[in-house]
Amino acid sequence: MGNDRDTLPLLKGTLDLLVLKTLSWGPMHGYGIASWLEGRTDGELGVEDSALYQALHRLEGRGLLEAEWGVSENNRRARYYRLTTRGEAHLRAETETWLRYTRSVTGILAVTSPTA
Amino acid sequence: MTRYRRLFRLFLGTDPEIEREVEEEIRSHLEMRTAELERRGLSPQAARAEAERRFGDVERARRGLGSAARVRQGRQRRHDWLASVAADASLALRRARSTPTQTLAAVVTFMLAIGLTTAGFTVVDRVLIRSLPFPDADRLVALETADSTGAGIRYISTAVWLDWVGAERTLASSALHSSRTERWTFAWPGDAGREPFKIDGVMVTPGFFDVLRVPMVAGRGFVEEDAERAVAMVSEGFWRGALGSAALPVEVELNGRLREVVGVVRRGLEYPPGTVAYLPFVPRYRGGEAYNWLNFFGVARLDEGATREQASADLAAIARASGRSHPEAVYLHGAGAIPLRDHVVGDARSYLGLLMGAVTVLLLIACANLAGLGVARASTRGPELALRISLGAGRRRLVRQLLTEHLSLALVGGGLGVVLAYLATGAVADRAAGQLPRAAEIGMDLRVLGFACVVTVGAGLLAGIVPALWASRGSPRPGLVGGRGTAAGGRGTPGALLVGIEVALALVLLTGGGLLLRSFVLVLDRDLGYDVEGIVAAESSLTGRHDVERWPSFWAELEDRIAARPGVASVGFASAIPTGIGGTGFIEVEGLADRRAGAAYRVVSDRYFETMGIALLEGRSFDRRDQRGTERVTVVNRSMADRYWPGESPIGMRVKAYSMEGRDGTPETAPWLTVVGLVEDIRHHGHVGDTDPEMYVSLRQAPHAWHLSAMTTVVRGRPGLPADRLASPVRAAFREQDPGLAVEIATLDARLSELLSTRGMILVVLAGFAALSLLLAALGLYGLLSFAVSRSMREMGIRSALGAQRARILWLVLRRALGVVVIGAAAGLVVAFWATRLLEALLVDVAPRDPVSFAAALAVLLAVSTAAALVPARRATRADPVESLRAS
Repeated sequence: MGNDRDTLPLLKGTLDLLVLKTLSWGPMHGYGIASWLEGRTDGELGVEDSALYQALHRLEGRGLLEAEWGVSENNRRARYYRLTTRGEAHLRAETETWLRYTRSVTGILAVTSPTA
Repeated sequence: MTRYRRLFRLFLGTDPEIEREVEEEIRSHLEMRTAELERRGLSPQAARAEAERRFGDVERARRGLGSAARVRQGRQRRHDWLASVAADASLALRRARSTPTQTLAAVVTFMLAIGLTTAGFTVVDRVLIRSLPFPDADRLVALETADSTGAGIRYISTAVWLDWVGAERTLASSALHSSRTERWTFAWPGDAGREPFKIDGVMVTPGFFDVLRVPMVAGRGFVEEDAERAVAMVSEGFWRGALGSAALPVEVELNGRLREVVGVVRRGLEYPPGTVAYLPFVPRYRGGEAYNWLNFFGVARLDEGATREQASADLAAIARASGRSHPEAVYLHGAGAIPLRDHVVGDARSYLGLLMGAVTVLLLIACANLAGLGVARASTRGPELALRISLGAGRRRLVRQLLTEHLSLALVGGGLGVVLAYLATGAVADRAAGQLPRAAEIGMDLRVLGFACVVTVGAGLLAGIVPALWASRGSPRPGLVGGRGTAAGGRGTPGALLVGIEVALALVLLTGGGLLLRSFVLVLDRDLGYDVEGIVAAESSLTGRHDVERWPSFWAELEDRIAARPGVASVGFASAIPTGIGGTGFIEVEGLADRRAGAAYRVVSDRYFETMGIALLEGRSFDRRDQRGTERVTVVNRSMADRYWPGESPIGMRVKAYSMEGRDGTPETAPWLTVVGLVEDIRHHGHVGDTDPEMYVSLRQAPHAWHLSAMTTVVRGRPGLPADRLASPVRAAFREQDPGLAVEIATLDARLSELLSTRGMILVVLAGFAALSLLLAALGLYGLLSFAVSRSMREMGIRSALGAQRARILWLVLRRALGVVVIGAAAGLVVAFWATRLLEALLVDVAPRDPVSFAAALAVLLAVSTAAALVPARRATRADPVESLRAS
């Protein structure tokens, strides 16, 4: 876990996208998603757990996720979230939009001279 | 969990379960994080603390998650509820298709009941409830004065009105209009080829249209100066029709005088309703006797902020002050302002109330019938319902499903009923224009549709709740075993109760109908005092035609012309005949100091009494002795003789008709008339009216020319000649005498029928409802018994196998029926005893508790019920004993 002061704040709407992507590998419970994201980004992105749960429930409300209670690895009751077909479609579309957006922005920011 | 909390949660989704789940999710996360941190070496307390810190704002998370979950939950619940309603609806549809006759019967019953109720409400809403169609109509009032008994009289004099105009403080504006709609002759100026005809007209003071704020389609309203000019206003219908929307001002000829039409009143906003033409007049007569000439109605608009009570008090004070300085005034003992709508609606309130009552009763009977039908259907489904109950269907769910069936039938029936109502109200608006005030305004709108929806849902629920509750109450076992379950119509079912209610309600309507019918028949039986058969009456007016000096000889010549026609037995003239409008005036009887003595004043020809068949009781009628300049004589009727000369003969007595004959209506200038004859009373206002005191004077002796301006001509045909055959010879004679004169001819019979038409209409409508309700009740009884019999066919078969006579079986079934009917009839009698009081205003010559009518209604009910019961009873007697023994 890195120093909190060094974590990057998330841009709006990004958390939802990350959650959807994380769940594309299979169903997970909230804690599982949180620790996978932390591991994956090496703690660079600061995701507050409470914000994560709110994102999860929000996505569930929009019908992009389904949830049901199950038993976790260490025999605890946990609420597992899973992508719905709508969620998958939404993930694909949003991923493409994001990549196009970042490619364009990166393209401009990487330019070293105005006339290049 | 009570029903209400469930319902609440259905829409708001509060649920302690949700809170628990959210809590558990958060806790499980914290535990997992704590465990991970412990594995990395933190102490349990430190791990826990770090886990919580990393989580962030737990409280906010809890709230956010909770509300999100609740919203989801609510949405899910609503979705489920809609799905189950849809399932119920499709089940209802399937069931409806599987029993087509029952479904059809139910839909038709709903259609009739809801349709009639909606139609009734439409009429009542438009006529009684809604304001008049003028702007700010609630500020409009009709003016009245009061006599010494305190009775309010809507007719007012110009004299008191002028006093009011000068001194009142609560009215924004006021105006007068003539109290009688007159028939004016309309002709196209300069076009002698087209036949003139009569239109309804009213005289108004110049500010009339400003009071009502009636919008003009073209032109303008009257102004003060118009009283001097020859102007007129017409209704939009007339302007577009007869005048072809001609540009204003357009010249017309009214009553022989050329006038310019300066304004057109918007369609539907003519006041009094149905007026075609208006002429301006300026009230002249003031003071003294003029206070007693009640020839006008007054309308006014209240000032901003003034109430009717204030206006009444103000006007009464002014009237009383005038009354004190004019002791001869009889009608200045008080005054009042009443809502104009009440004035327009008048009597209609009582019989529209009756209509609405009858319609409601019919609706209740229909619902009871349908409930009975529903109970019968539900009991045939005993096994199916029992199965569903045992499979866990909650009672509420079953009730809801059964209700849905009835509601769907009601909705279909209601939709058709609205169409029926639309057609019915259209017919009423057209046909009842003469009898019903504000008939032209009747039409359906959103408010009526809203009412129809409420009634439909209400009827569906009312009809469905009994079968739904009854069918879902049972314990499952008897039905499941495969037996027949409880027989509907047997003990312990609501079927008998429902039919009993229907019988009671039907009896109430029958009794009401019977009373009205009896009253109608008795009224028709009344002696009118004159002959009706074989007589025609012709209305015409000489106003504006010929020299006034010529008028007496005009009528004399016309009489000769008509009498010369074949088929005519005799001809008479009168200023007013029975079934026409008439005028009463003040009289002074020699030797009597009664200031309120009055009598109807009629100017008649010599042969009038003979033509009308009015019996001469004493003395003589008018003849050649009575000329202008000879001794003034009069003939009086029995009522007048009884009132003013009780116990003695009126012949030789003297009387003055001063309001009619005196100059300015003063007694001093009126001549004494000597009574020379006594005739029988007549009912002037048709069958329903009373007999009034009347005095007759001869055509040749009438002092004022205007007495002779509009005479009604009566012509009696030879015995055996139907009256309508007289119309064309009479019209031909008129045309010979004066081709340009407009004449209206009708048989006396037709005129009488018209007076009775409102009563007749009410009677027909109510009788229709009574008949319909009786039919429904009979059907209900038939259905009940039919069902009971088919259930107990086996029992009947066994009985007859054991040797029971057919008659005995018949009696067994009939006894059941009689039981229900007798109890229902008893209850109905009690209700009717109380309810018929409400009919008092409409009943003539019949007491509200008239035993004959009650007995007749009861007899009809028993007869029809017995007939309805006989069919299933006979079926019971045909139960085959062999069949039923075999079946057991």
